[in-house]
This record gives sequence, C-alpha cells and structure tokens, in this order.
Amino acid sequence: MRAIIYLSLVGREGFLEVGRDCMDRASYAWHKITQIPGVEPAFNRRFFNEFSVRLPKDASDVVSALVDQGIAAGFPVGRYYEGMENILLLAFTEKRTKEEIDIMVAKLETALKA
Amino acid sequence: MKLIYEKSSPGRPGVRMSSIQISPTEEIPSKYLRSKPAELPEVSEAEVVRHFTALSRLNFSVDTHFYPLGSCTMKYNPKACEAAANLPELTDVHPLWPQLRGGGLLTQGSLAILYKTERLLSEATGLDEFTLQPMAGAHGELTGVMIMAAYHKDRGNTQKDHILIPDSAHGTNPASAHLAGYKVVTIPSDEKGMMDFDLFMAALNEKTAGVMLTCPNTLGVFNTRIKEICDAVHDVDGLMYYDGANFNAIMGRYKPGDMGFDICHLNLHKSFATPHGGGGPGAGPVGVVDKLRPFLPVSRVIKTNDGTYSLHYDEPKSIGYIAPFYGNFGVIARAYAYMLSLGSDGMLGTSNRAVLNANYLQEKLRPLFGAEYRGRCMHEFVFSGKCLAEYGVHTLDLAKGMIDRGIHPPTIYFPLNVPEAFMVEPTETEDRDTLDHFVEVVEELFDIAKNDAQKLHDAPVSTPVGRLDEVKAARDMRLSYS
Repeated sequence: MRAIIYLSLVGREGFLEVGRDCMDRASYAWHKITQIPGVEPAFNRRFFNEFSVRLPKDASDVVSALVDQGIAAGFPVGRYYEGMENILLLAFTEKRTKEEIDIMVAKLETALKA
Repeated sequence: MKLIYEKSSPGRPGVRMSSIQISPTEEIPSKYLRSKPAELPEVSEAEVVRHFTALSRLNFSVDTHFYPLGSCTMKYNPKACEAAANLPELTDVHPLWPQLRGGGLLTQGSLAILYKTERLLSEATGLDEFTLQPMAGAHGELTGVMIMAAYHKDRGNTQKDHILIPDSAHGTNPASAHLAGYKVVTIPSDEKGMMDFDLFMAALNEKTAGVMLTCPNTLGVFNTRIKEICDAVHDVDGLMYYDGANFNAIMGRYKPGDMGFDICHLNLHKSFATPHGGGGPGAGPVGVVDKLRPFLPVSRVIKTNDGTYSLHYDEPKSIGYIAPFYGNFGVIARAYAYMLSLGSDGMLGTSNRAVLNANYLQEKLRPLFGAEYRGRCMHEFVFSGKCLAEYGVHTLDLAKGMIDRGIHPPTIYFPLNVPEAFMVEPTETEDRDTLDHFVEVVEELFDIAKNDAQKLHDAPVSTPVGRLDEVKAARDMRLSYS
C-alpha cells in the first residue's frame, strides 16, 4: 500500500528525479570522500547510489567512532566478507542534503586521523 | 470508480522532492537507461489522497464497522499505540545497527522494548522465557514444535513420533506438527465440545511428543480437565503446547504456565490489539518453561550487568535462526504500548468484557438458532445455521445479508466439526448498543430467510460488486488492467 501510494505521488517525472538525485548525492559524496588522504575507491566501477571505499584502517572501528558522534556512516563490509575489513559501503539517497554529506565527510576525516 | 491511471494527466506534478543538483552531472550511459519512462500516473497530491481514501471506504474495517469475526479477535487497535509505534526514533532505526560494533548504543531504546515486552509476556503467560521472532501465529507454532523436537532430540527421546491434536484445532496446528516432522493423531471432540478425554488417554503413549491444545478452544469452550491432561502428558515426557489464538479469553485471569503448559505462542495481532487486516503483518511470540530455554531461536536480547541491552548468539542448543533480525518490530512496539496502557487490571478487565460480550450475544441469539444450552462460552461461540435449511437458506446467505447492513460477517463454516457454522467473537471493544444492533440484524435476516429467501440469495446488493464466485476468485484470480 505504501509503495503504490508513494509511486502515485511522485509520478512519472518525480520517479526519474528521485533516481537522478540519488546518483547526484552519491556522486558528490564519492568525490569528497575519495579526496580524504588515505581513502581510495574499493572498486574501479560505475555506481548508482551506493559505492565502497577502502579506508586506511578497520572500517568497523571507524563506524564505531562515528556512532559516538551520531552518524550512521555506512556498513563495514568485513562483517560479511573476510579480508575486506577496511572496506566501507556507503549509500546516498534523495533524502540527504549537501550539508549533511559535508558534515559526515568532515567527521570521517577526523576519525581517520585519530 | 476510476483507476488512478485514468485520473492521470500528462505533466501534472504530484509531490516533488527538492531536486537541487549538488554535484557536476554524472551521466549514466544511455545503454543503461530505460527507453521510455515508467508508466506511473501523473496526478496531484490531493487527487492521490482522495483516490486512496475513497478506495479505503469500500472496505470493511475495525475502524468503520462492527467486525465479529470468530477466532480472529478483530478488536479495535487503540490509536495511542499506533502513535507510539510510529515515533521516528523507532521507525528510523536500521535493524543492522545492534549487530555492529558500537551500534548497540544507538538502539538501546529498541532493544529495551524487545526485552521488556518479553518480560511482560512472561508475566502474562506464566512462562519463563520468550522469543519475539516469529512473524505470525503459525510461524510461532512451527517454532514451538521445532523447540519441542529439539528438546526430545536432546533428551534422546528417539521414539517420539507423533503429536495429539483435537479435531477442533486451527488447521495450522497439524500443518506445523507435520512440517516439524511429526505424525498427527487427531482426537475427536466430546458432546460438550472438549477434546474427548477417554479417546485422548487411549491415544497417549510413550511415542507421544506432545499435545497441541487451544484453550479455550475454537468452540469457545474451556477444557475443564486441563490439569489431568497436562499431568498425563508429562508422565510420558511429552510437552504441552498452548495455542494462544484465544488468549483474549483468559488474559489476566489464568496463565498457561500455571495450567501446566510448556510452550505457548501468542498472536499479538489478536489479543494485543495490533493491526490484523490486510495480511498483517502479524507477530507470534513463543514462550517456554525454563527447561526449554536453551532451545529458543537466536538472537536473544539480554540485559548486561551495566544495565545496557545487547544481542546474544552463543546458544549451542538453539534451533537457530527462524527469522531475519528480531521479529516484526513495529507490531511488537504496538503490543508493548498496549500492555503498558492496560496494566494488569486492564488485562483482566479486557478478558472479562470479551467473555461477557460473547455470553450476552450467545444468550440473545440462542432462541433464534434453536441451540441447546451447553453452558457458558468464553470469548466466542459457535451456532449452526442448519435451522434455516428448510427455507433453502445457508449460513453463507446470512453472512452476505449482514454486509448490506453494515456488519462484517462472523466466521462461517469453521470450525469444520460444526455444520453450517456461524462463529461470533464480539471482543471487549464493543458496547451494548452495538451488540443489540447485531442481534436485531440477525433477527431481521431470519425473518427474511423465512419469508423471502431469494432476497438473501441475492445479497449483497449495496457493495460495488455483488455475490462473487469465491472459489473461482481464490483459485483462478486474473487481475488485469488494459
């Protein structure tokens, strides 16, 4: 029921816009995050609204550090895939703003320096 | 009524997100793009709201109509509990959080609700430990029988091969027993509607893994020999399973654990006033006595020495995972709010009124159906509509006539051991005026049945579609739009 009401509300154009916005937010975040020293793209592939980065330290530790600052900073892939302990999976949707992404990136950078 | 597509107009905007571009355009290669836009309607927000509100008015619901659907406990869902469960602090929590390092700190409230709901259900049922994971009543049954099987395996009870189930049980009982690997032995009911005690004793032996009992049962009858039954089953190291479908009849008055039951599932969407229509989602928590604690599914919510809550997985005898994450959390949160709002006095008042309402209706309707007095009922009762057979009218016709009079029909043709069954469960949430109106409607329908039966065969006439071929609709459904 929620899904059909949602699709009726956003309609043909709105549905396209949601997709564009997701990609826009993810693309902006990718550029910002991969500029942090020591952070690299985990895979050299195209992405839509979700991508992985390799951090210079254990992603679980980083997520845990950001929890203290009230940010749910992504999913540490090492939980499911051995050998990927430093990889962080991030997703961005149309709900996120530039300001939110900037704050998250700044706190991620601080956490990586600690 | 028009479909939402038929109200669509090209270019008309509905709800728009703030589509502010923040990054240089990243083009998606054209080969990944769809060739034409998704065929979604283009309608205004007001039109969408009106459309779905109008659709909802075509439905019968607890919020719009009396809904005495026997065995389903269609009680009113208090709006305060809905509001509590819809707090963003509860709805916006990601279920993976408590599993991530440090993430538990962000989910203490949700974990506390799970932990405290388990404690309240333990208090209500007299059972030592609960799991909230099963997603529905039948899922709870299967979980319970799997726990039963794990117990017997752990005890080396390799001879246990069957479960005893009375013939008045919900069909899900034998289905759950069968799925868990047991044979099912059906015990007939006696003339009072209880499981026949002598036949039960004759069927009970060392191979009996357990007994699944609904008490009060589907006929609304409380089994007065329950203590003897439990003792006899325990004597052969069998386990007693309590089907909590009818818990609304005894809530706050008796505890299944005190009666001697070892395992019990509860339907939160019944007795605990969580939404029930439209396929749920439901919730079927399972409680067990202390000796069965090690077999409960993981994860378990535990309270640590520093007063915080966390998830616990290290249970080597556990039956394992039976559901993703922690059950239907939104449903559990509603039930938690409901229990807190009732308190123990409120729980007792609830079951008392549910039983009183059912007895009131039973006595008011008894003369019409010509049913003999077999004692008081609990929260529901079953009459047979066969008294109308001489007029060529069936229970189905009565049910359809009710729809035209703004009442959701009671359960019909169940339980299977009553011909032309007409099964009424008013619940505690109805007042006397509503019950009296129901009686008047049934009286009117009996009059019509005797004087103008065709009128009932034609019912319903006030609905968007008339009488449907229900078997064809269920077995050969073709939903199309062109």
